[in-house]
Amino acid sequence: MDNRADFISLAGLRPDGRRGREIRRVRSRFGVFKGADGSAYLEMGQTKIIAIVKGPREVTRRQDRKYDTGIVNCEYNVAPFSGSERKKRRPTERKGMEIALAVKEVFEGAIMLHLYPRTQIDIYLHVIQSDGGVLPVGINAASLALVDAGVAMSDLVVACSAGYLDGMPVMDLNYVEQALGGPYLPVAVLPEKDKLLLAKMESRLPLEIFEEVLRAATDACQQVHEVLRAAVKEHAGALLSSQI
Amino acid sequence: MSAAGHIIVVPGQEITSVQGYLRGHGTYVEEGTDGGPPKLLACVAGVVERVNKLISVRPIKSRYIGEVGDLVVGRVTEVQSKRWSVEVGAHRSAVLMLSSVNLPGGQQRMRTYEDQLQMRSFFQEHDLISAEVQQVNSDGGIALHTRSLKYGKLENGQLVSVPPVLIRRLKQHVVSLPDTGVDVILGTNGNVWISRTPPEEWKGKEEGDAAGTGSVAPKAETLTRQRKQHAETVKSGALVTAGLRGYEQWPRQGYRTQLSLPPFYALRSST
Repeated sequence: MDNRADFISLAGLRPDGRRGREIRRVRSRFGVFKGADGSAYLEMGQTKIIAIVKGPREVTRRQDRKYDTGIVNCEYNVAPFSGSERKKRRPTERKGMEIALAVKEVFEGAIMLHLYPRTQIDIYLHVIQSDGGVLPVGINAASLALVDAGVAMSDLVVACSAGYLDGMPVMDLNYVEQALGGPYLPVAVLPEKDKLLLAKMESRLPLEIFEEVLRAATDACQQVHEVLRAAVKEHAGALLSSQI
Repeated sequence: MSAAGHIIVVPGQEITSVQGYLRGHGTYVEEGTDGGPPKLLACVAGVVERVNKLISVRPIKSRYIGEVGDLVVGRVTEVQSKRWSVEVGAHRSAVLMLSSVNLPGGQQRMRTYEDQLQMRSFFQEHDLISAEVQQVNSDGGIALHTRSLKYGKLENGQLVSVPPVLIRRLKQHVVSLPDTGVDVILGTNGNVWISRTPPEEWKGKEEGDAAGTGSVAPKAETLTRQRKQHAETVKSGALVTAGLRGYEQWPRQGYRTQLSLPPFYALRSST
């Protein structure tokens, strides 16, 4: 028997009670880390990530310095208590390196690096609790932290994932859904420009279904964008009223 | 959308598609889609500011952006040949050229190779200095100078760092708090230096031997425990929590009324 058949109930509800085209609850906080130029805490459902941005600042390794643009670095760190079992992760772990690289590449495409020649921008991601969709949530958190740091970006980068369960595309998978081994497609976009910055999938999928899943993912990104834009505006308003 | 008449924008948000405006900081122009007119978009989150035809977005928070004439307080990070690099909290380290410092005795001459070898006797790594911005390059690099007795090495005091937006540009950035014997240097880059007012009897000495290094205090001066407490008192004494609000009025009204503090020796009786 196909045990995936009952992952969406007869009422059309997923294990955590969402419908297929619903993202998880998003909550955010800015300026959580005082020592940095910008920081943000973001939770989507049970996935909770802190992003810290330092820079633009003098390049620490001189041989990396570029004379016409800035460079972006990303470090990714998972707390031992973040998953269902306590586990210490090595910083050289392949999965973590992959996520750090993806985040770095996404923001290289979004930050207006020509404004910051000979500088570097460091993004540090700390996963406090992980319940699926670590990469998209990490990208969203980093995006908020960069806004908090006042770094110029061509658009507010947002990310979300989509998958395919029981013959229908579903948005923003959590850990249970992601662990089923079905298609999992995290996507990062520039929402105002409808530009795709990242799409990553490791499973094979017929083209028609892939298009459907990709559309679900970009739609999910627009939903996330609504929430994050409102959060940024609120934060900007609050900071502004405290400055006047 | 707006708080008290301000328009708040987020990155990627359109400011205007009307032609004839100039793009300032925090904005960029994008070609219109489907042959539409070019649009002016925001690239930082902040407040839209307009001066005649120039539209810019002031970010809610940013690193220090230098302007010529600013007084800054920074830390020497590196001694290179003919220059010091100074961390002032800008996008890049500021540069203090050997030719932009006063020589001992105030003489004017070309800097020799011997001067280069002596650079560490002026400023070493980790020294805090106050300086003025002499030049800001097109790529944002900052050149400093300390060609005045007001500037130079900072000793025997306390550094407080605040976000640069909290320090507005004023006529006076070196303030002597009345009746307290406390001097405050309000660096435009957000670094505030708090020290005690040098006593009268030092006045002559400064111009003599110590003038070259820009050192305010004679070398013999060391911090006693009491005086250190005194300096720290100011730091803890609600200065930071008050967010430096109203510091423009300090010279006139006295800071005590501004911050509604008790006489500040009493503030930190423990330790």
